[in-house]
Amino acid sequence: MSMYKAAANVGDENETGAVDANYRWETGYEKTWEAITEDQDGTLQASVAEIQKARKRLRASRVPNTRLGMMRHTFLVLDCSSSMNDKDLHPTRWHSAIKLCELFVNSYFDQNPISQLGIISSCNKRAERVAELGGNPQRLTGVLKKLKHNQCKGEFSIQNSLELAYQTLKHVPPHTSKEIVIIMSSLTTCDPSDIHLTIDSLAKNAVKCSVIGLAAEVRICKELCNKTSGTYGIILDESTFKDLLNSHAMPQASASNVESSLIKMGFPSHYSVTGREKPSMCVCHQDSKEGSTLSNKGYICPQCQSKYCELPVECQICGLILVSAPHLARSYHHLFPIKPFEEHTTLPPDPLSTSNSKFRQCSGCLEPLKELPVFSCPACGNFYCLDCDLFVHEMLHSCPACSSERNEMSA
Amino acid sequence: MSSEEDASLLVIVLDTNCVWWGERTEGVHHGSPHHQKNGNLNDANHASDSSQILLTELVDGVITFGNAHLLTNHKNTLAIIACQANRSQYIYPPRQSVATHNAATGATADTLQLLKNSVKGELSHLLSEVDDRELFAESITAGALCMALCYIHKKEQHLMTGEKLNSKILVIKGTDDHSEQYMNFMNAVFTAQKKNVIIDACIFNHDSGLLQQACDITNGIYLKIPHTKGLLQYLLWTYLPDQATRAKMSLPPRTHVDYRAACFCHRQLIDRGFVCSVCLSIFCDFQAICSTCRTPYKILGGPVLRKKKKTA
Repeated sequence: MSMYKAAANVGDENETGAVDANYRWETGYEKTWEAITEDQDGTLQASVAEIQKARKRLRASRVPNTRLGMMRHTFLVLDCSSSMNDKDLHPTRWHSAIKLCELFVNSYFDQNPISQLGIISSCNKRAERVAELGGNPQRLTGVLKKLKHNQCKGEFSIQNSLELAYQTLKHVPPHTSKEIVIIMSSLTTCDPSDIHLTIDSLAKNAVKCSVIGLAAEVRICKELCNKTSGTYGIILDESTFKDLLNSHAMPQASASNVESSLIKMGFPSHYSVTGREKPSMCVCHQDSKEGSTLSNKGYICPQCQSKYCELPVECQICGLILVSAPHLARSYHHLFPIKPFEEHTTLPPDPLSTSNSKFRQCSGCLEPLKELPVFSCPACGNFYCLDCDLFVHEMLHSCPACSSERNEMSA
Repeated sequence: MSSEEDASLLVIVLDTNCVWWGERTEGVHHGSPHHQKNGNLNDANHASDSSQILLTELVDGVITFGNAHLLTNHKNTLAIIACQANRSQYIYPPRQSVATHNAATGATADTLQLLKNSVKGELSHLLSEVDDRELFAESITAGALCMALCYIHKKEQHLMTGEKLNSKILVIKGTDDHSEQYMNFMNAVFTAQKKNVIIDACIFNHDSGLLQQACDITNGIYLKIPHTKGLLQYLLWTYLPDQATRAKMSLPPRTHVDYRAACFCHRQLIDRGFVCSVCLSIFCDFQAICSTCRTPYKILGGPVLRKKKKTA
């Protein structure tokens, strides 16, 4: 699958395929308009909605049996060159990118609660680390809000950004997945030395680099993504931009040379249960500008008894990673994904009244199954409507009927 | 106070586990093999006690509570899901007549009558179908929560633009938690959190760690009621008010929630443990190979073996 094709069919295809595949202009003529047909009332709406829903279904499915990097350290590199002032995205590329990045930060931490994210901006041929790696979405969205008022000027430097990100990423523990996501609007990059050496060293150290291009495909980015097994996507409009960015919020398949290890973690208890309900100061805010204030809320590190306001956090005193059980549970659906439902184009008979299939109801929402297609869970064989199918795969990640049975699934 | 236009949808998840309620009704030990296994044997001793609530009283209480909810606002809607040891099923709105039900929303006399008939009819139908394979003393609430969320999601899809729907799930439960459902249960809780659905819990017997977490995460009320005979009073006073009204009431204090994790090897709560970097399984002690995903671990912090210098 060529990159051009991948860019045009974002959402369907996200893999960086083989390089030898045809470019889109070399392939046969595609009659895209023939996929759209009029319905009885002569409107196209139903047909378009169908295509959109099919696409959504595809997006929710995932290749099974791939090892995912659950603990991620990601740098988001923002191009702040003058090309960001272009108005092809509204109001400008820059404002649109910042807005989507804020959404990305939130969904990143929603999907990967024990991961860390940092932000690098690059303008005037230089790269600047605007946010260190951290696990607090509020801090990062705050940084992005401030960054919004920056003036985009000068040229972008891909090498400086990569080197700067790598300086931090080379110190993270070897069992984590190291990733760099670049949002690149410029078609040129201004680099101080040979970028191929940088790319090789990144590839050697299993740093996964992905690029989202806002303009057109650039050869060096394609090479970067191919060598570091990242993905390269070109946006068509704001919605594909959002899709591409969101695909990076999901845990990515981890590189084959990532080590695995058992990590010691602490599950702290609330401060107020320990019996000492006197107010005390927390460790996490003692260096901040506002300073630490006295409070009787917080979490106590089980190893060194220091107090923190929020979880997850790495203990500054003893280095223990402090999490709560729901943080880990939030990631389990990536590891134990629900199977895609089978699509049926005929209505199944109702077990209660076999003669009358029009009263067959969706096992999720009890709505009668009138519209085709209907879907059935391969594990329990219960039938669902399209809305429930999408909802179950995009948000819920558990089949309602399977999860009310015994011995079907276990955590 | 929420504005008068805002409709509210309440889904009640009702634990109708036959073993548990059977013990309360009969108060006798019956020697089924499943019955011996579970830890509820001690409770059977005071089951004949007249201070314990019976299933019929529960159903009456819930129907009255449902009526009260429907009468609060003419746009309010209600669904009730019965949750058994091995399956969950809607008992209101009744199967086969969703279309007619949709037409008759609001608290007309017809709806209230339908509610009463449907709950009693479907429930007795459901209980009469129970066979031996379903005799477990724990109910699986995860599936019922998932169904409730699907129902809420569907109702939200049908909303006109500008309309808002405040959704609540109330779990009324007597049986103990079943550890097998943990992952599905948490998936449902996180979905509820994302969709701003409140999960309330009303507990009869032992505290439920899972529901405590669910209520804490979704800002619901968790209450283990001390006098089960007074169920209806608790329901009306504590669970009927909407979120805005609750802020002004003095409700039972938030229970402390134990967020410690249970290790996968012994199912015991631990405050320090080892987590697999690949599959996030939790172990209370170091292992060489992950028992969940079979990954061999690199041993961290071990002594580094260096080659001895060869002496010539």
